Amino acid sequence: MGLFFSRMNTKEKIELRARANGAVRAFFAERGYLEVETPRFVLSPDIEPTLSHLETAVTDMTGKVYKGALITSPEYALKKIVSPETPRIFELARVFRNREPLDRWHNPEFTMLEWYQLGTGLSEGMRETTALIDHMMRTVSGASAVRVGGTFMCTAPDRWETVSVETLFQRHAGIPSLANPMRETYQSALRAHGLHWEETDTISDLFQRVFLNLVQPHLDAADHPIIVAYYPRHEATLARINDRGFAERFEVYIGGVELCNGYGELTDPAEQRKRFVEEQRERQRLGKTLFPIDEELLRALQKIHEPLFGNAIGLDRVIMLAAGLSSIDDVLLFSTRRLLPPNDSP
Amino acid sequence: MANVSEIKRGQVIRWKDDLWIISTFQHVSPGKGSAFTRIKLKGLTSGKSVENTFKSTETLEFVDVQRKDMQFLFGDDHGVTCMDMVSFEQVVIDNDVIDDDRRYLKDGLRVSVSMYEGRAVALELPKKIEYTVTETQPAVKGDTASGNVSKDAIMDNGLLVRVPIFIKQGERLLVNTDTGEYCERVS
Repeated sequence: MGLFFSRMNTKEKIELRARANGAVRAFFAERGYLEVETPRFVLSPDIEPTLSHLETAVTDMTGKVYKGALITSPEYALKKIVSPETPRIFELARVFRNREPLDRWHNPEFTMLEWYQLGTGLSEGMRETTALIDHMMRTVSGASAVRVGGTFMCTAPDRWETVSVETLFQRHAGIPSLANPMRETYQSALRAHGLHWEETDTISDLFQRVFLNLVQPHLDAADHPIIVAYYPRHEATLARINDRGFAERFEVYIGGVELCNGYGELTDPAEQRKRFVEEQRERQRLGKTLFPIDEELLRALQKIHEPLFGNAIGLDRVIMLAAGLSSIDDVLLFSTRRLLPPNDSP
Repeated sequence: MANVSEIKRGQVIRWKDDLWIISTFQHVSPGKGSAFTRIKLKGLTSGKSVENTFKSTETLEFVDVQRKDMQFLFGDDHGVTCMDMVSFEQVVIDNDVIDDDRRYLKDGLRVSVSMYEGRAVALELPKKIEYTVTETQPAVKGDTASGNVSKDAIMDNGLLVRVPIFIKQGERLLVNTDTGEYCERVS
């Protein structure tokens, strides 16, 4: 059929989103997943240091105030309820992020499709992600293809490439190994390419500069979907570290657009507590709001004894790509950018 | 000094002892870590384009530019040529600074051009531009009932816009240049 759109009216947007949500639900139902709904308001949101939350509070009848925030991802709640009894769960969650750009790729609230599967490793998770994205493209646009920069890209599973971060850094930045990266590892590559960095950069910042300047242009130009996998250990966040010392984490890039973050999840509560404490300290250094560490999550992790795969996809971006639309405003019925008064800095 | 998050296309900055024009930029917030902005810069003296990455919290030195009312004359491989409405001098603005905005240009359009030391570095469009519809399908009875309430229309400069079903060929209308969307009919 090959159904691609220019700009859409409200009716077309409603139909497009309904078709996309239907595609997600059919995909997961067929694979034995259960759809769940978890809270938007929490007392302990994701404390990844650079996240800024929409902070709010619940007030009870006596006037007592409980400070919290809207979630930036349903991750913590989903990890608390995934279990051998319900090993496959997914949520179409509305999530919120503050202090991000208001542009064609970003809206302060957006839909995150997040799913967890107990007893599954990263490779199987990659296969499932590939199948899901191709299924979305076929359902929404009528073909195993997306329109990227005026040409069509095939999304059939056999067209995908999986490549490690280390290979990409060898190929494009001349960095031989990422097994034990140090600041100098990245600084020397930046220096060799005449690129800019700041003395105050963290190792993660330096990594991102190398990635964005030297690797990303190749992802932008690729004519097929790419899975970028196995990040250096300082980019682990909530992923576990494998035997080679790399984080079990992958991202999907289509036409240079990052669509998701998949993890072989960290389920060791002691290691998780250590990372929470580090993140809390970093938030303090950055002057970000501090929230209590989620003790309930740490307790829940004690009960997980199998590998856990989790993935989160920015659904609005997938719909944009599937429908060949260039702005997130085109797939939102009420985009925040259009609600704000013109020329008013948010 | 200004924050990286405040940059605009055509902004002139002083950086590494040189002056640069911002050609294009993209904000990136990776799955983890700080937010960055990928910027394509063109050296004002060298004319060379480079790409670099700035953290969104970094500061840059913005250089003031002068704005002039001009009229769009024509576009070609060299760039977009405009004429100063006071001195009748012609200037050329690079295509890579204008990027996607080029599709909105039409003969005689009044635009605002940023000048730096006698050189045209950026072009700003009016918020809304009037066009005449040169091509669109007539409304068919039953369209509204079947839910087809909008359709494609081609403007007098070739721009494609989604318009309400009642718009006819030859009508004049306003298009929003931020969103590319139809605003209203001009009576």
